[in-house]
Amino acid sequence: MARVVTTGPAVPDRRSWLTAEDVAALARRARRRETAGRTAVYTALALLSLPIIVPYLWLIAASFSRRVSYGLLPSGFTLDNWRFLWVANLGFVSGTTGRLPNIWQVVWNSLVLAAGTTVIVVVVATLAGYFVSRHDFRRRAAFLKGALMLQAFPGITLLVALFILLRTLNLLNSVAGVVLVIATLHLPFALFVMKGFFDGIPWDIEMSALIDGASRLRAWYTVLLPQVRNGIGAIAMFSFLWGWTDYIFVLTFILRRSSWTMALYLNAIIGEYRFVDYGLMAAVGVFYMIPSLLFFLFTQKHLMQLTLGGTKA
Amino acid sequence: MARIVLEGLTKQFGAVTAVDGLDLALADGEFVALLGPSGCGKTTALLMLAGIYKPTRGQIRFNDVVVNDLPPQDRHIGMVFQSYALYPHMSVFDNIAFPLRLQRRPSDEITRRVREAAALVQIDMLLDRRPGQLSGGQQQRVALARALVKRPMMLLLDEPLSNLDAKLRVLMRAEIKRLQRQLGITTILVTHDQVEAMTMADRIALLRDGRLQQLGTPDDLYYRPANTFVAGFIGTPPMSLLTARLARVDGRVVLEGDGLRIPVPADVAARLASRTGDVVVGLRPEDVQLLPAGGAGQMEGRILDVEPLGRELVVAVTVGQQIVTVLAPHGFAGRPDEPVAMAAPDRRLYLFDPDTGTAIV
Repeated sequence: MARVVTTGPAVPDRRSWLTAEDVAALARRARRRETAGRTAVYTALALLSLPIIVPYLWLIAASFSRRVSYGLLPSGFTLDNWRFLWVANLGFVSGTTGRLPNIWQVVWNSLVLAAGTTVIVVVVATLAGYFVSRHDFRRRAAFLKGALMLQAFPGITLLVALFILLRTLNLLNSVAGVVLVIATLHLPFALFVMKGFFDGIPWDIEMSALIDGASRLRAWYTVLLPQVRNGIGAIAMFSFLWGWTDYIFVLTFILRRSSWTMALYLNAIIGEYRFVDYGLMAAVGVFYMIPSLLFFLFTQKHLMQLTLGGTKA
Repeated sequence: MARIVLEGLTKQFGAVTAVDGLDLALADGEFVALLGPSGCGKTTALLMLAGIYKPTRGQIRFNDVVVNDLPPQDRHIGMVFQSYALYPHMSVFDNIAFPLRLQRRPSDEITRRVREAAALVQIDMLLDRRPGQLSGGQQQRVALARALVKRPMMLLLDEPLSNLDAKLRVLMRAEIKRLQRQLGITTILVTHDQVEAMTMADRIALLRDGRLQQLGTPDDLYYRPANTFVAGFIGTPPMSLLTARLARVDGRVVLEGDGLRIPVPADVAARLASRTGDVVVGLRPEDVQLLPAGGAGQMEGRILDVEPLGRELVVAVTVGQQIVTVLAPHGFAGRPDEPVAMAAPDRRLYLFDPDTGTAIV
């Protein structure tokens, strides 16, 4: 196999190695290079991730600190910043422009918003994704293009129109109104995800279920739905986070304090003109992140499936 | 069990006619293969039988009852797909039990019948596995068990062997045939593989472009092809089809062409009557005999290519502008470009009309 050159130089050349020692020397060099390369990659990645990781670490440290000097350096341990969880009435907090509503009311509103969005998106996208994947109807291509365009449309440009629409429907100031808006704007994406998952299931399996004696509906939920579980998990997670993290729509459509969500609560604490209570802000910020972190922790697997696209048998 | 009749069965998709006036009658317990190249409409015909597609025209009758409008779930059909179409999220047991659960059978009956069906195809030790953990052959057996467990009126097999490797295919061919005989179940096999059709089926329906070309036993199709398409499709290597001229020399009928001069046997000549002009001559590779060049052959040509197959060799010979394929016994030493002569068979000479392609005698 190996092409052996009769007169090899003292330092082995990779094209003309001769002895076992030469081979060992070449192998050592390859190992050294691999180690050096790997070290360089890890160092570069670590440096690149610092700007992302440090602020989070700062936020968590600040939420348990007595003081934050110059708005930058946390010091001294305290749980006082977390008092918003158990003190019913925070009263005047430096930085806020009035009284804060009860945190648990706010959490409840946020959960309703996130869960409501999830339910609508999952139910509609799963049914519609199946239909679009399996049925050929008039203007199917036009419908899909339109849905794609809607997704490309920045929702913010619709703020005024949506405001008028919600006022007409008497849904201003209600979480339900915002649920409808967020779910609608994100449905195209979820629809395409679910269409992709249904596209991945061969027709044969569905035909087989029909021949085995199932009705179309029965085949859909006993044979097809279990195979798109990962897709449902992924869009459920996304839509929960869309609802949980939305800021611009709740800010615009919810004026009444009793309907506030976490985003508005945090916004109020950051305030506009005065001193900021950095400790309190950090604690609320960390609290706000918890559901997102939990969600990511438990649904990573589904998310990974998304990038792979579809299910496998 | 059922007698199945297809009458004038037609399916159009827009302007495309996938199946065109198919007539076919299956006796109770008969095994018929729908054979043809891909796109010939055989799978469309099968899906109409299963109730997935509705016929555009024509009738499907099970035991003399028209079932055109019966949805698939009410047809009592068992079907095995090329992809097996097992439900990946269910165990083997649940896959086989699925049709029975849909019939709301009591659970002890389901367990008993699933075990029976599994034993029939020898997968009783795999019932707890998922389809993804099985080999192709095992998946195929699960698909068979699932199709048979509900004791269907008929069994439809859509290219059931094409995803298996060559050895397993031969095994499953015998296995499916055994099951079909044992259960006496009316069966339709869709395949593009003539060997599968010839070895397994009682009768073969050969389709092309949605139209039935010939319906008959494997011997009928091989020895009495109805037209040039059937003649060229059945048999490996395929029959050579040459154009020649009918001539009468000294009261005898002779086929003449560039490099060939074949006397037509008297009984065949008698049935040709006064026909003259061009005809298509069909020669089976195993019927032609290679002779040394310059001998008493009826065809002269040059060897184009020699393909060794082990037991025998496939020799392609150029005769004039046409090519004759010959099966030569092991030991044939001819090389490409060498001249060679050939003897045409007396008995098995196939003659077709050059315009319509239909068999003349």
